[in-house]
Amino acid sequence: MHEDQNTATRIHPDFFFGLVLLIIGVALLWHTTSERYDFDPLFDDVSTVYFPRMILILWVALSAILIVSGLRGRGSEEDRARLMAVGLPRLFLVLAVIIASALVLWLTGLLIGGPILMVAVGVALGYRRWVILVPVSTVLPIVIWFALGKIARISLPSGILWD
Amino acid sequence: MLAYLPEAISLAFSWHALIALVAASVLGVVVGVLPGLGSALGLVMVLPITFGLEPVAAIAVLVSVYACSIYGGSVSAILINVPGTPQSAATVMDGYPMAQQGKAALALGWATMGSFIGGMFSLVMLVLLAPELARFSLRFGPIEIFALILFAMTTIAWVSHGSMVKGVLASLIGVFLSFCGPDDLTGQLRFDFDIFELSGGFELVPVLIGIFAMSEILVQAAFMKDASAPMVIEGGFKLAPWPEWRARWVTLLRSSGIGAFIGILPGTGATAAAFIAYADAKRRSPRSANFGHGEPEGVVASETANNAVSGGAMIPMLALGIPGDGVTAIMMGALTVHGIIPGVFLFRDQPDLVTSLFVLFFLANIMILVVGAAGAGLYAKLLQAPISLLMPAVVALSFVGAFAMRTNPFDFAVSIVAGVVGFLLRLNGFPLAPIIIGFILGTPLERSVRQGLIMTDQSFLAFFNSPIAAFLFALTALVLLQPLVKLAIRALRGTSNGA
Repeated sequence: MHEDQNTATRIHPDFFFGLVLLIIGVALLWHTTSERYDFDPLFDDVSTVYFPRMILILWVALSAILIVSGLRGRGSEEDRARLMAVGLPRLFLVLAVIIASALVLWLTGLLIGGPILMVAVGVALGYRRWVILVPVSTVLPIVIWFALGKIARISLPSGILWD
Repeated sequence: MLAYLPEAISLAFSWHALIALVAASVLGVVVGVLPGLGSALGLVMVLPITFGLEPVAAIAVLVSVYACSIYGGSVSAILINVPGTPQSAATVMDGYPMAQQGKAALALGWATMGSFIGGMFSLVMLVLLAPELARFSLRFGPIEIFALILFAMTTIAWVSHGSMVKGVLASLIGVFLSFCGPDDLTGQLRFDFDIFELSGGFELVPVLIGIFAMSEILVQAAFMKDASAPMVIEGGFKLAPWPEWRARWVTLLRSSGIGAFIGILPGTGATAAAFIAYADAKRRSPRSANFGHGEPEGVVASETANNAVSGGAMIPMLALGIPGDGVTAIMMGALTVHGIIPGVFLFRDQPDLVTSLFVLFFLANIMILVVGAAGAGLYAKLLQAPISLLMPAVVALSFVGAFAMRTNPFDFAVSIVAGVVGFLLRLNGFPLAPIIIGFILGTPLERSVRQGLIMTDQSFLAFFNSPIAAFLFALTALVLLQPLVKLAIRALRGTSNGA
């Protein structure tokens, strides 16, 4: 029992990262055997997936090395400590807010979505001084819209709801 | 190059280039001063701004943010004991003790002058070496280009922070991303997985934004401590008297040389240069006992070297199209967006733009002095701004940048996914710069190897017939075998000790 626990705690996170990368690498390598890549009359020998295969084989081999070294508990203790120190609730909150903000920005455009995005991200990151956050979040999108959209004529999100 | 100087000066001194230069210099110093932002994020943030500018004004923005952000990092290193950018980590060791002794203004003066002199020295190296290297590289065919890119990528992966396996894997991820979309030689679609938006491949800018900016926001969220304003020592700007400068000119010169040389080497970067120059100065200085207790020479060595890297790093980027680190990779990507393709033919086809870049880099280094001296009184206030107020602006600018390239909301998703992947990889000690370098160099790498194989009837062995390629392959093998060589030396030493 004790031995199992020790083995479990000895495994370095490199093992899991290596495993995920190995699965992705093998899946992509498998994809290169798809029949859509069969016909290539001009470059028959140096086909369109020739070099990607070389890269993916190296990818798979290095992932396997990462798995083995992780399984043996070898790897940076700094990396392990960093993973343990992650504050998951705030991380997921900020990620959810970023995804939602991107949607709002796409739907409503920069002038409406921008302030919502900035206030939401600021609050998610723990900023609570509303007297500063709200004006800054309102003014900056207007500045971006004017400077980039009007003067520099860069295409900005205009909101599909209004298009 | 001299023949193009009058035209380059007139381009660089056009009103829109000058406005861009001044604004970007201020912005560069600001992103350098604020811990958590830094050169890479600064460049990513200004990318969308450059889209609407003339190429010369865009170059002005890029070189100013690059040079000034490296300098800006010294300000927070001196005033709050936290380097604003990793490049200024060595400045903390003597800069903050100086500030604690009431010499903050003097420390900022040393840092500003050191950064200026280092930047100017690297400009001289850039002007002298880049055209020569470009001329030499005109002899390169596909096989030599393949060998060169392979060597550069291996070296970058080797010297990146953390394990070499992770560095190489990061490069491979980047190279693979470059495969998605139409094949460069045949036009055949690859790895699009029947997703229409992937049929054009990944755009560089959303990937850049995701990998550098979005992942940084997630890092801030994951490791955020309770927001409390840092203890800031009031700044100011004061130059040391001439005899003190005279006593330290050798350090200035040697640190400039170290920085410029390390900048040329792929993957090493300004942080390493600053520490090496600091250690070198400490070893040689008659005042070595004062190092770590507020010795100006420590500030000078670190700040001169890290700014001297900027010009050095641009030598292989401009002449060969090989970015040496993440920051120059972003620069190269941004230049490419403007139709300025760094590499062998840039010096031949667009000498006026290259000379303008030299002139603008000169002006950007002058701006370090101007902004450094003029803004010194404001730094303390700037450093009170919490990161949780700055990050929303970074998110907004990131989305604007991701969208602006091809006005496709799919690129919002690309930047978010790239951010999550970048965050996860960073968590486990994968370096991010090789991903971007691999992504940028993936297409020329594949093109060169396939062209080379077609030329040699699919014989890899024939690649060794080229002396340049054979030399570069040998260097690559040395880099790859370096862990084995170390092991062998250790084993031999163990045996001899045992005997």
